[in-house]
Amino acid sequence: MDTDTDTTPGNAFAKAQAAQAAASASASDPTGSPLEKAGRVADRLRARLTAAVKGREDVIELLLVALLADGHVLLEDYPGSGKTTLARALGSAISESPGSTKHISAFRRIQFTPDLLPSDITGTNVMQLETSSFVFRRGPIFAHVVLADEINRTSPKVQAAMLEAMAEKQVTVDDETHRLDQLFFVIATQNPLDLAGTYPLPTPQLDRFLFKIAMKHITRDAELEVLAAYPKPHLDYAAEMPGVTRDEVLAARTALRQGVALDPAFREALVDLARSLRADKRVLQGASTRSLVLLLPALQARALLAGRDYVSPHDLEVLAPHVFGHRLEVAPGIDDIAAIVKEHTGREVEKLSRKALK
Amino acid sequence: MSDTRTKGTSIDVRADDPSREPWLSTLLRTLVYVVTAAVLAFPLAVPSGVFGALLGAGLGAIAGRLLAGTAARLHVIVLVSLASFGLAYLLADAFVASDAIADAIGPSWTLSLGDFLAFFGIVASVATALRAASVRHRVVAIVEAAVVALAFASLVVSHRNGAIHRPYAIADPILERGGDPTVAILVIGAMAAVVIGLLLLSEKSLLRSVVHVALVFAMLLLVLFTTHVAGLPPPPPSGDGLSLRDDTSQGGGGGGQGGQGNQQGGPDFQDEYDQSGAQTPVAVILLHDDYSPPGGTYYFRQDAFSRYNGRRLVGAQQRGIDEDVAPGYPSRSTPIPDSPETGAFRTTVETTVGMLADHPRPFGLESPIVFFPATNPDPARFRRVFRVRSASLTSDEWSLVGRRAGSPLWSPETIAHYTHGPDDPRYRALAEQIVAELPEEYREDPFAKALSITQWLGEHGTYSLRSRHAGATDPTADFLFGDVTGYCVHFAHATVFLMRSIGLPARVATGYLSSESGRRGGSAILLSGQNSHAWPEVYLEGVGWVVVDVMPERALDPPPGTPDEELQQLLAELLRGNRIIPDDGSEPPTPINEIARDLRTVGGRIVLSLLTLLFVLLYATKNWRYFAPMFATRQSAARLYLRSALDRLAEGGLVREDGESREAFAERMRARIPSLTPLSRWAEASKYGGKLPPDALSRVRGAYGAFERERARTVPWWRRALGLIDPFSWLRVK
Repeated sequence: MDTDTDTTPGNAFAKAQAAQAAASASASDPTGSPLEKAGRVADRLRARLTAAVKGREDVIELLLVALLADGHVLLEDYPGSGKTTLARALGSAISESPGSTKHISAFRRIQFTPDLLPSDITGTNVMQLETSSFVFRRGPIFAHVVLADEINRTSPKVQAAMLEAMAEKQVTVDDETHRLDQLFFVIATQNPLDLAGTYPLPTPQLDRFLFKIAMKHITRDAELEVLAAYPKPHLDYAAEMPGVTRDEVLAARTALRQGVALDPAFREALVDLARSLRADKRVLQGASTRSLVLLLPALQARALLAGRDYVSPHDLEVLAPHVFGHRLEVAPGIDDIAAIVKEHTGREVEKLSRKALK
Repeated sequence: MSDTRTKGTSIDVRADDPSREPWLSTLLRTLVYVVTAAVLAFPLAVPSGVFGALLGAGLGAIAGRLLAGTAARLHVIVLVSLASFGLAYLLADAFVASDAIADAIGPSWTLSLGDFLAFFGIVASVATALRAASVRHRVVAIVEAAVVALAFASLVVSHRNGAIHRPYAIADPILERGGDPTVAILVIGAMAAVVIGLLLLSEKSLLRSVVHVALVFAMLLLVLFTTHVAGLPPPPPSGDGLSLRDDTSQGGGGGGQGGQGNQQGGPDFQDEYDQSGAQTPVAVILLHDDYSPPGGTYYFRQDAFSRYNGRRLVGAQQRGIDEDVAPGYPSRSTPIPDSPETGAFRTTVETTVGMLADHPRPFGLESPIVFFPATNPDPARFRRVFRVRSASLTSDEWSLVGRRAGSPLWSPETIAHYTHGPDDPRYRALAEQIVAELPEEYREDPFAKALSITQWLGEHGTYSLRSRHAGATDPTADFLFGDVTGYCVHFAHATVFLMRSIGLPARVATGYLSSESGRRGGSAILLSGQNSHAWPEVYLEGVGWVVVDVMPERALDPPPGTPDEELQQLLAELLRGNRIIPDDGSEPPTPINEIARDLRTVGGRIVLSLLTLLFVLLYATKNWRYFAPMFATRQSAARLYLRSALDRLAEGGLVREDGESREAFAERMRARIPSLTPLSRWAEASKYGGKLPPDALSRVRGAYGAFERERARTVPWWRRALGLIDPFSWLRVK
């Protein structure tokens, strides 16, 4: 709505971007500032995902916020609720930039089972008979978008390897460190009900996920829409829509961090929010400082997705429950964490909103 | 962008959701309805009717509450309720009118049951409609509160023509037992406050309830203080026929009286005596000395008229004539010239006059010697308070016989003045004919002659407030030689003219009269409009002006009723605290109740000015916030216009919820008022460092224009008008 309009044609950066974009195969618009381009990247991704998955606008938005904010998400859902479709749609929407020599698959799905070993996901050194030397064979984790299905079903050892990869964007096999792709984005899932024989992720591990998103059943209309596409799935329709390149996503990440205005008031609000959460008697363990750091780009990404070039209290209102919901440990007997987070967030939002009129 | 919150597609409907009213609030409201119905029905109905009203109010309140929760449309509920109102009335009427029922259960049961049915039906239907409307629309709660307040106010409403504020039925039994009715009335007032408070307390939000209770408290304070500062309402203007009062509605609309002669005053003839002020209390008199008039009637002279103007008697306005009339209200002790001496025929009587209505000059028990100013114990009630020392007649008629008429000090002009009457020879003929009937020895005695004339008129005249003499050239002749039917002015003029025709110095005096029985053994006399009177007076040497009144034996109109004894006593009690103000200007020590009164006055002024200041500030801020956007810069425009828009929405009761972000609120309003979204966005952009378009100012103005149009479509006009006068609306904007 309020995107930057003072674009000067002589801007060298813009020219370079324009040239790069023109060279790319994607249907991107070559003009505009980095922030405008980032906005268009977000819009294209959203359009594609919305076409592929019906009735999940809120999840799609959070997913894109996480992608653009360089975070990872944990989906809590039921089997068959469309998480794979969602992840696949996202993976297929991001293509390798033209001219890239690396060949990384766009999307990989890892089904976590109790007998999985770390090397099954990271990859391993194998003996190449031709050269009689060990060659690293990349595991499924080397992809743009990784769907870590039922992450709580596997052993803590595998979980640790996975979470290290998520945090460091690298894997270590036989003392040799291999960097993952810059884009690396994990969508982990866990079934909220079927907990028999699982290894639930401890809260410190959960801290590595930017969002935990509880997926509710979609509405009747959305469900009807899903069925209406039969026999050709929505995913196929979406595949015909314009996608984005890996570099565009990375550029968008940089652009929004630099371009979306983040008023100092929000930093204060975040710190106050975390402190008040920690001070709450119902909360045993409050939000970490890391979560606040992660939240900053998320706020900017949410603003970008909402078509703004500034962060508004509404972004905080929307994102806070997903960011803090899985990071708090509450006293026994209290089950509605969302309500606690909402209560404290409401207070901060109220403070910010009141200041806005002054 | 989508929210995790459900999309707001309709304007805030939560307030209208009846299921949100807690059960305690429902119970309290039902209770309030029942109490109100009882209070309303109590003075109107027999016990069965009161019971019917109670039952109707309770059931109606519950029915209205339940109906409001259904899908039924409000206007259908109200219409059906009103229809059942009419039905209940007709049914009760038919019930009472039916012979068969009366025969079956007896007339008293029929009446009781009929009353029960009528009150039950009427109250139940009104309660149902009101309650349902109030549950659906919170605004109607104002009507609810108003009905409750009115019900209680009707109990304590002022009566007796505004002279005194006390409910007859409540205060009198207490007074009879020697209690203070103020306490009872205060208790009723407190009950009303509690009941209205309960209605308001059952708000959903605690903060709102607190604010409402504070408002009720402020209102009570305001009423308490303003009645003191502004005073009680004066008695309604009404005629007294004799123009004794300042506040009578004479002058332009004085009927046949016309404008002529008003300068000189004096009672004029009217075809219909103006009696509209008959019940208005005009003054209360305290007697400080034990005095009973010989004729059994107290005369309070206000004015005297002795100059014949060819038609009637008017004010003399001459030096040396009628100087015994007080020139004006006393500011210091004022002796009256020409006042008669006390001694053989007269005694000194001191009285206090507390005037309840404005009079152009003071009046006093005949004949006043000195007027003293006095302190006013209750300025809100008494217009004027003064004391009069009078030389009142003690001798009966027989001892006055034998006195000579007129005064030896009078000049021939004065004698001519007091004996000048119409040239019509019939007066003299009639007078001589009347005097001729006197026994031989009294035929030359002036007082006997005067008495015989009044006696003759009393025997032959008929008292009537309606007569047809005003149109005649000489109304007195038309009366006297016609049907001899008229009222006091006719009789007084006829007497004076007859007396003057045979050389007796006479004049007409006006004022008030009260029979001694009006005292009822006490020392107070209450005068009301019906006590106004005009009477003839004759001058006797050494005695002064003596009242010789006509008592017509036949009357077409009832005599003045007796004054209200309770009111008389109460006013007398109020008046008794007065003291004479000394001439040297030294202030008497102030009694404690006057100090309290002064404090109340000061307190009242402070409260009033504080409240005025508060409202002025509230309105000033409200208007400033409305006009501020006109002076906006490009940077501040968005914020100022958004604030103005939020003010307008708050006037219609649409405000952001606590903890809701501006964007979420705009999203909630979006279905009806889409322009709020860009206004909110620009305001936040300017606050949080977003880039504004170069033409931000005009775009914001355009959006605000669109907002006003959308609001006009969404919010009904009466809601907007109410919001315009609401001084608090902007305080709800956060």
